[in-house]
Amino acid sequence: MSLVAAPQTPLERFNGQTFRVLLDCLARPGKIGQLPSPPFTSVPSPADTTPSNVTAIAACMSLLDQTVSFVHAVDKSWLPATHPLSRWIMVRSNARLVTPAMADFALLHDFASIALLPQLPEGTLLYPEHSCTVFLCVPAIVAGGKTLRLTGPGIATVVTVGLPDAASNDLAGLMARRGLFPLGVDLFLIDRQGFCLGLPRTTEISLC
Amino acid sequence: MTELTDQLYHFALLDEDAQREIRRKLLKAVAIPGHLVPFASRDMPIARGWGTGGLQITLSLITPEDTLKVIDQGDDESVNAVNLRRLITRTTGVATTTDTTAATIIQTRHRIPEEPMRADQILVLQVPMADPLRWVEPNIERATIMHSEADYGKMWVYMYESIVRAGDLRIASQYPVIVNRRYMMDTTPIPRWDVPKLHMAETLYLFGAGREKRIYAVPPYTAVEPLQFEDYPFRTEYRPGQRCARCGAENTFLTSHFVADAHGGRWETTCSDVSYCTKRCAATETTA
Repeated sequence: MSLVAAPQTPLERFNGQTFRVLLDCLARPGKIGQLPSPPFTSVPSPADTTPSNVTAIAACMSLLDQTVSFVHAVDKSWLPATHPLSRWIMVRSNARLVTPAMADFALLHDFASIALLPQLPEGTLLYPEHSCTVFLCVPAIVAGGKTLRLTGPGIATVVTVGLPDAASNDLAGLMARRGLFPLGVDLFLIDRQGFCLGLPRTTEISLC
Repeated sequence: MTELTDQLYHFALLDEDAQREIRRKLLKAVAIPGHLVPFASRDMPIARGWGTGGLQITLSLITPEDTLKVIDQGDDESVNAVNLRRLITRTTGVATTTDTTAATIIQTRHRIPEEPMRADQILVLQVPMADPLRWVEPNIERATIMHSEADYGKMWVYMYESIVRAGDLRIASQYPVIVNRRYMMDTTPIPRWDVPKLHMAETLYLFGAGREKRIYAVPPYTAVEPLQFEDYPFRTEYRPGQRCARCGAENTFLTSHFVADAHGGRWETTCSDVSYCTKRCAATETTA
């Protein structure tokens, strides 16, 4: 049977493979997925002291287009539309940079910015899907480590995950505003090696 | 020139924006198990009601490395399954199989395969009617409010009345279930036989209703409880002594069809999951 479709471009291929990893990680919280290497180079840094996590930026951008909006933050403050990285993302995705309370997607470039989580939309009872999806850059994720203890849909019994180098404040931020199902924010934690952990609103998180 | 005319379509037919929209909705559906998430449901080269919801999900998921299986009523060779499979392979070039254990994505209408599915597989179900509350509330806006308030009293009354009138729960397929102890969900036209397979499964189940423009999901290891009363428990179609006339299986979902012969014909029951039945027949022949 002859093929009638053009082969995927490298970016389409990345978006397709990334989605499968994100879907798998969100359906199975605690499972650590490996995201493919992004086809981007020379991505601007969010701040002089914070290098950009290109995999996390590309994973977030794989879901952005002209119909959705985003915000991004570093060091506990939201970045303006004039920031080089905002412009870099907007020109490639056509997504709008908006106020946090309206954002469909949020990209938090460092773990400390998790403190901004309560400012993001959690959906309404009529439309719980109108909630923010957050991509959080973390230093490292270790499967089976001893930081977080997760239970809930997608987990057979209990699973533990390690987040070395995470401050107790940041972990408290991660656990804030949970238990409001069906409302809530869905999180993807992505580390520097491109490992990904999904934490949907259904997952109950406690410290080990 | 030949090459250009041969490659008129985008990979997996849907354009990148359409795929991305469905991907965003799928992620929300997985995060809110059992909740109906509206999606755009683009026009497809097949009519709505013929599996466009499942098809759009499959086309948004699929990567060139996948192995695809498409079934209709458990059968790999029925018209709907053959056409959908041809459309997907011609626009993606993925490998196909009829073996449940060899597939990574299975698109299905009306059945969950008999062979247990694994964690590395995804089952995509084609859904004709998405909202279980339509029996008691035909207005979908009002039904959405009822879902938001977990106001399912009317449905329980409907179940009770069906017992009073008919002496049993008169629901053959599309049996309503409660997912993750919160949302009431329609199980698509899968028979009651397959409903227990949704509960605490290893596999991710994705549901697409193209005509009603809704996507929903049941993640793995999620509680899926059929609606039932203490004195009228949920029952599958299992009948003691049932047997497939072809492979002899005694614990599968059976369908009956009329076989004409010289004496006027007879009804015969065989496994609905044809690939499983054929596999069993082949295994018997080898050992015999």
